[in-house]
Amino acid sequence: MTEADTSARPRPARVALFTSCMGDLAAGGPARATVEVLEAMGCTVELPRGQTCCGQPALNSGYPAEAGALLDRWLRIFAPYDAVVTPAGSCAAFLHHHLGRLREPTPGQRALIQRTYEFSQFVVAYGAGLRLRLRGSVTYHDSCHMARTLGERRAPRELLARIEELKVREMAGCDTCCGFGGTFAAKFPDVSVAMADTKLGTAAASGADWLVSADPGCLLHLSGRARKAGPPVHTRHLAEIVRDALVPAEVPAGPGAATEVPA
Amino acid sequence: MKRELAELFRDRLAAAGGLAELAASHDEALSLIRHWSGDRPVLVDDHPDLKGLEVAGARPADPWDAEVGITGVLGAAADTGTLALGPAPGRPRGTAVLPGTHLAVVPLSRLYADYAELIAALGRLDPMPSGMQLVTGPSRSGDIESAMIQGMHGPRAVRVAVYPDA
Amino acid sequence: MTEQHSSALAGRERIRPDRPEWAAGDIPPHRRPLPLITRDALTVPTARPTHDRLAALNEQRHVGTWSPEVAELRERGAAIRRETLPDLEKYLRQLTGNVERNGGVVHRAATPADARAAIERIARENGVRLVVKSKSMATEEIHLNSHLTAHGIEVVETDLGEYIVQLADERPSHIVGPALHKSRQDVADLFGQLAGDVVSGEPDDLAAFARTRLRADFKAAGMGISGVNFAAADTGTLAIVTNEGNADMVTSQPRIHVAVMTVEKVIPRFADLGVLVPLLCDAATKQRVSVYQTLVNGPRREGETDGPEQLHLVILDNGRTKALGTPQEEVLACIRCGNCQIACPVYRTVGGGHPYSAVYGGPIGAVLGPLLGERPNQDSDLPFLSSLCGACFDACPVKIPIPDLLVNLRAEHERARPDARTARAGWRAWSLVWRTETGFRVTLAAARLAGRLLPERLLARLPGPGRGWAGGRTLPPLREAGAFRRWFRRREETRDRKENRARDRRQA
Repeated sequence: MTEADTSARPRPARVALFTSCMGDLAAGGPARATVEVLEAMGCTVELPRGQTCCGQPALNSGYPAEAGALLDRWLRIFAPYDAVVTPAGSCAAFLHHHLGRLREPTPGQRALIQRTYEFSQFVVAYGAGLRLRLRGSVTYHDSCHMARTLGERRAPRELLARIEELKVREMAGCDTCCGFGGTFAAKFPDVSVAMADTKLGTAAASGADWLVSADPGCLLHLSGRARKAGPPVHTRHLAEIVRDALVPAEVPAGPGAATEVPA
Repeated sequence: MKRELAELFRDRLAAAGGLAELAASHDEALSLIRHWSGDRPVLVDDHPDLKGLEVAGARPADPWDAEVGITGVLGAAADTGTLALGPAPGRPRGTAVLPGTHLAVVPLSRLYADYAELIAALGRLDPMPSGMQLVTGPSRSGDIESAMIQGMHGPRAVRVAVYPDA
Repeated sequence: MTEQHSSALAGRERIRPDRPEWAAGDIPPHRRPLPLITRDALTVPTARPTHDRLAALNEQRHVGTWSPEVAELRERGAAIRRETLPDLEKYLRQLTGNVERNGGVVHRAATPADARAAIERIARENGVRLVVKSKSMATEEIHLNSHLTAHGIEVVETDLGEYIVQLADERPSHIVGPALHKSRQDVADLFGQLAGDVVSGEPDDLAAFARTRLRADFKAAGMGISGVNFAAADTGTLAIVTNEGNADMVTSQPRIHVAVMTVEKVIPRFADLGVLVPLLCDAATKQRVSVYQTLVNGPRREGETDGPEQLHLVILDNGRTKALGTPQEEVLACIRCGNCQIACPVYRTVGGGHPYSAVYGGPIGAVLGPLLGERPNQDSDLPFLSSLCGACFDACPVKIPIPDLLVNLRAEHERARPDARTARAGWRAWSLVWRTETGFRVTLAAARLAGRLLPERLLARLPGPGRGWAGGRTLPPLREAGAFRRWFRRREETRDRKENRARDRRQA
């Protein structure tokens, strides 16, 4: 939805990165890759220093009041920006779906959520000029909240399909839950891990070099399992794949650019 | 138009594991029934659409021993291949479920385009019969490894003769 | 009429039950915590094959996707199922009036005990010794079989899957496919023990074995008990949906028919069956319609030679009406297709519904179980047994927002449980700390410090979520906490310096 009605509009001027608490705590790589891709698109990325968490972990654990308090803070901090981009598909889905359930949002707050994008949505909408090339093969794992709650299955695939020389091999049950589920992963660790093994097994059977997803949560869970005992599958965030695939644009002539080129 | 419905009914019933033939007349429909029935022990409903039917098989003393049950219908639905039966004196509920083979005649005038239309028509019956059986093909079960088993408690075969009426 | 003992159950004493405690026909009154039960469930030999069969079914049926025709039915069905909720009692009264006008007797039961007592009384007053049943989850809810058996009345399940789980002394593991957790060999072994002989494992042979044995009971039983899929308020019609034809037998051959429904099964109009039956059948088994829909309008009438002499309708509440007017009432739109169970990766992984240790397993059970009245608080932790992936919502033919309901119920559980004081304090503290930039930075620093100083083995042993995580996974790289923000800041500083230098050069 978000990407369809924005394609005609000019690229937002002030873009804020919503790192997500997971990005700050343990998944900095995808956040960094997101910044690098957005800058390659010509965006100026700002990192609102006061951001913490959207509140999702508390809500899913049964603490809606605590979740709401963090959501309020999130809404205040990101209000000034023309667009918000996050490498965490689940957080984007949470904001889109639960704002109306936890709060009675103002039109301004609704509009803010409407301009909050998951990484691939933003790149598909505004990054048409990017040239991408990467040798290898990937299989895409739909994170549940991104695919079902946000309804976004197309943008990540469209983005992967644009990468020259990259083969995309769909795995069986690509949108079957990997077993992360936030607190579920800790409350029911055995079931969670068994689900990871199923997912890693189908990913391995696809023969792809990388399992790619747009959600740091799924990826921490899957890579943690793969490293410990599960099927040996390499995982990577979609933003990192796209960053690795960036082909530098032709260097434009001009005094500013000249200083960037090393001798 | 009705002819197309009859063909749809035949195809959909076939998809459900049953069989329908389009007869040219009521007489031809009855002769199909007679042929299908053979000389097996048989239960025949007292139904106006079966008037004139003569079958070789005898009526068993215990209805549980019948191998064939022959009925008319309250109506039928083309898009699903469904028959609707209603009990009445002379038309027990058991005819269509106790024997291994269920045979029925369907006049085109009571063949409805789809299941919802059939339900609507049944809803207009006044008074409604004490019960109604809607039957789509032979009895089946998927309870063992989801494998399709045909002929569970009800009939293993359902055959229908569709005929044009005035 | 003389009633013999059940033929179908003859030889039952030869069966050696081979199932975990939590799969038993009667749920153990004090169950162990769900994380322990589900851990056990993964080690049961049937768990993996069951998962694989269910996963194949899920793929093959494209569970959660709808053809344009059915999508339209789904819109209409979802609306019809919510039409009764604002005034359920009005529709129940209308239904009751029409069933009575049709010659039936209606019994309203607030609790499972009321329902059991009513059915037992009907059986006793009519000297019933043998009961044949077609599938009914409502009777599972009231544990009817063990109650009647304890009072000397034999009860035989006639749905093939129900018959299998009854013989194995288990509960249905799926709403529509009670024995989906059993392989053909499991069933052959079970029937073999019953018969004291070797039984072929071909599904057709197994079905023939059950058919022959159950046929004698259909003929001999004095009472038939069925569930109800839909009850039309405007005509008093009870609709029962099957593929096997056993409901036709159960409702037509014994001299008494007792239909058991829960309050939410009432629908406004007979004509709604034209929408709801095809919708149910598509969701449950991907059929346009099931083989049989048995519509009951009352006992047999004068001149009819079969059909029951008495029709009784038991309408059970069991806590449901308490949900009316709350967001949880959506669960009462459920039409029991079992699609959410097939769609649920947790349900599939734990090998079906048994480890949920409740009458209804899977997503629908996790939202319905906590509302049911008989075991307050016992099932309130069920909503946590879900990864909130949302596949159940996509698979629901009447669009019940199961994930949202699960989240609501989690909050209720946390509010109500006495042992949550620490958790409540913890989340409150978390929320306060993360409401400030400083608090968040301190958290990042602490995480980084822990990641650097404490070995992973020790981290995994500290109390808290880390322990659950670390059993099967390496811990996230906590030493990198805050690294992204530092990288971003350094880049900004470098860029600023460069810009300053460029400006200086230009000015020079």
